[in-house]
Amino acid sequence: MGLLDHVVVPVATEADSRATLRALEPYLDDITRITAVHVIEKGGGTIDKAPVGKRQADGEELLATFEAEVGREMPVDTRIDFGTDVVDTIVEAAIDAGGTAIAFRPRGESKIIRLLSGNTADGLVSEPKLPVIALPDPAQE
Amino acid sequence: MSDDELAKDLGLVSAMTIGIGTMIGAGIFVLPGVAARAAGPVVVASFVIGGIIAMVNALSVSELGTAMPKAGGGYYFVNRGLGPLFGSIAGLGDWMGLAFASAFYSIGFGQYLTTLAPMPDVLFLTDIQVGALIAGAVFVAVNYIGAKETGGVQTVIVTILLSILGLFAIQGFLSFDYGVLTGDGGLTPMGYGAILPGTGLVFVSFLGYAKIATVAEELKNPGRNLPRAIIGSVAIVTVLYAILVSIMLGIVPWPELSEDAPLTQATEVAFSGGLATVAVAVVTVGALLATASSANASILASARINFAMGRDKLVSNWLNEIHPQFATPYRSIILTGGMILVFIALLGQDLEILAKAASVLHLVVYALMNAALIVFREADVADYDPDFEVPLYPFTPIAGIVCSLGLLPFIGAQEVALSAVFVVGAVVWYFIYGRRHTPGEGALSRYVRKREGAMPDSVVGAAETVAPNEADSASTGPTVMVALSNPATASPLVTLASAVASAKGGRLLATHIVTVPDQTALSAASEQREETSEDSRRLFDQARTDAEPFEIPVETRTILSHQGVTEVFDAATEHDVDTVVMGYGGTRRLGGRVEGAFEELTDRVPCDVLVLNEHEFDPSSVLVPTAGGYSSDLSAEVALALQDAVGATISVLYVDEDRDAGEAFIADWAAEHGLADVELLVERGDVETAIEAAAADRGLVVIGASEEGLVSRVARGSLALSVLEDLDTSVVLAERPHDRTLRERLFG
Repeated sequence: MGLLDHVVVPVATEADSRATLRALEPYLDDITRITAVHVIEKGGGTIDKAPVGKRQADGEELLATFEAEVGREMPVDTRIDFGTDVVDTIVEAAIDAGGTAIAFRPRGESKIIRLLSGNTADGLVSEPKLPVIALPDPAQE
Repeated sequence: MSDDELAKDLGLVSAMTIGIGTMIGAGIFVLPGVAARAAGPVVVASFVIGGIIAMVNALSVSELGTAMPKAGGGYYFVNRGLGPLFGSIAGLGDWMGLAFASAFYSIGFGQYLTTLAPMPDVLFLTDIQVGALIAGAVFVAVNYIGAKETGGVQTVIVTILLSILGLFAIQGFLSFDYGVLTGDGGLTPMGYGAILPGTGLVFVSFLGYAKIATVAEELKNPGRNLPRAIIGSVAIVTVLYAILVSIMLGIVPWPELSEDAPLTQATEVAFSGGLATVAVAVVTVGALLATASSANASILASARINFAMGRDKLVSNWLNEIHPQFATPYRSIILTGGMILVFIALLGQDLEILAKAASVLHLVVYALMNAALIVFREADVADYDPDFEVPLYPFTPIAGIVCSLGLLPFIGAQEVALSAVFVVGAVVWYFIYGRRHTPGEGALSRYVRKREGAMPDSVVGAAETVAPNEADSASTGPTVMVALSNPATASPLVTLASAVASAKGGRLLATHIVTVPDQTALSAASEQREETSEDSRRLFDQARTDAEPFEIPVETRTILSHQGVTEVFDAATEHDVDTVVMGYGGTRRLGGRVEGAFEELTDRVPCDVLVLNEHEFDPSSVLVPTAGGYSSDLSAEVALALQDAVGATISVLYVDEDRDAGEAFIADWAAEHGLADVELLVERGDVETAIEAAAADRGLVVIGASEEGLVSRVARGSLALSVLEDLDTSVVLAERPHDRTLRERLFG
């Protein structure tokens, strides 16, 4: 089984989705199947920071556009997962979906933002349970 | 577990800690001093009466919450029950009430903060206001950024608070002196008349329980947990207030109890020596935690109300956008936060105004909520099926209304007037904004309009005056909605829809279904959006031209769709549409997208659906193949409509080996469906061949769906109908839902 057989792609926002797609483009021929995951962070017993209905609606819209874009190239699964920890939830979703690797485009947050909202990229690569691929930005070559 | 279940992670304990945590901040730490000076020791009775009023309302909130566990709480119930006018009042009232309450909690925080760290007076602001402004700004910032807070933190905070209060209660009980409690003037130095004004003052201490209903969407097993958490938290805090306030007043004589930091003062007296310093520090930290968590929960709850109102289009959805980085509803939080800071700065010199304004607005919402409950019960709304029902109906909700409104005069004219400004503002807002945008009508006005004959004219007239503009036209006849996406194939669809609408004396709702196009790069998709309105305008112009000969009212709407045919059906239900006309090709293109993981497409259609295979068609001769049965009523109706509107000649085709039996059947069928002057054809052999032969020299074939769910399956792409694809003649596939339930007619 190849590393790129079934790539799991976390998608957070519209901009993130676009950047990820751009970054994925050079590798699309090698990828057989994609699962796009949108994670909604939960309070796990406290009031969520945003209304969950809004987050779900946004997530569905986001994944639909992602699917419409890549769906012509290969089979795309989309899923929304809930969890108190974004990184853990992405990894669990990837394992659950039977992915061979997680591919993501680091969002290049500033230090202060990382400090405030936590950095998903650090979390993904620091203790990987699956191969993790950090995609380069093709525009920066 | 399904997605839905995973989205719900508030258990009974979490929900109760939200309720208790929000309430005790105010009742114990902030208000006892102010309230005791206003009423004397009998203020304990004021707290108990406040608890009883809260409990009556809590019962109603529990019933409504288990029937509709949705974000938005009181607003949502009132909007569904009494319609968007009262919905606007409840929404704005609840929202502003929460902003006032948050300002009040921030002032409480500021009062304890100044005992720890002296604050400067700035301009016209007192030191407490400065502390409160800093605190308020921090609460808003924390919610803007969406600090990582998990359920554990909330539970720990409430546990700490309850422990602190428990220790205080034990030590306080040892220092308790009944002589101090009665003091010089006895228990009622201001007379019994001071009890209810006291309740008006302290009622703000009971506002927390409604926040549980506001986040009902996030509750596990709401049918069981919601009533327990709401009723339980009200019961617990009422008992806590009664005990702890009694103890405080038995330690410090009521005229001397501090108005700023009462619990600190009582602790200082109750604990002696070196222990007192530690105890005071602990109590102060507790007070800061309690008021902070109250303010925090209120800010989060207000974002839910904005979200629920945005969903009903009573406020712009712009307000509810989620921050791309922090995943918080940042605009809503900034707006609410801004108001909190303004309230602190302008009104914060007098704690009472903030507390009372919050109470008045909440009481108005409670009264409306109880009225909504009565409407839901009386209008016999089919899907109103609460797991928890208030005892002693209708006494309980009526008592809720009487108690809530009855308390208002005791609160104070100034605060009632201030709140009235917001109520009037909500009404004005509804008429200038909400009425043009919101699609929903309440159960009340549906109920009134449906019984037009039995109701006094003035009542029906009033219901129509305040109903959303969208709903106005519902009284002018049935609505036929046509779903358009491709300008090239729009004309035949509009013609068919217009013919049906004109025959029924109804109106046409032309909708432009915009999907994110498959062929467009994502980066271009957002630019595409701006062109969409231009596309829509052109499409609607064309539709108006096509519909013109039929002389029917035409309305237009653009529907952004990412999910496919479901959204078309949703729009149909939302606009109370009787017939949807859509194209076969467009439907299948939409449908290709529907198989997403989140889609729960039921096979049922929401109303009559006509699927046309989008050829240019000549409606002057219509073929209706029938085998009787399901949906053939509808195909007969469509043929009749075309006869009516464009003078079509109708031929009915029946395929049977036995010619005589066939002729008998078809004659009966035609007569039953009111088809006069029609040609009756009976053929033998293969059904499809017969249809094909008969269709050859006719302009349009109208086929009733042979079974339920045909249209949905065509739309999902799981079924391709050869008759729709192979015939050169235009074909309409007609499907009628088996029976429209009352629920669908009421709520759409």
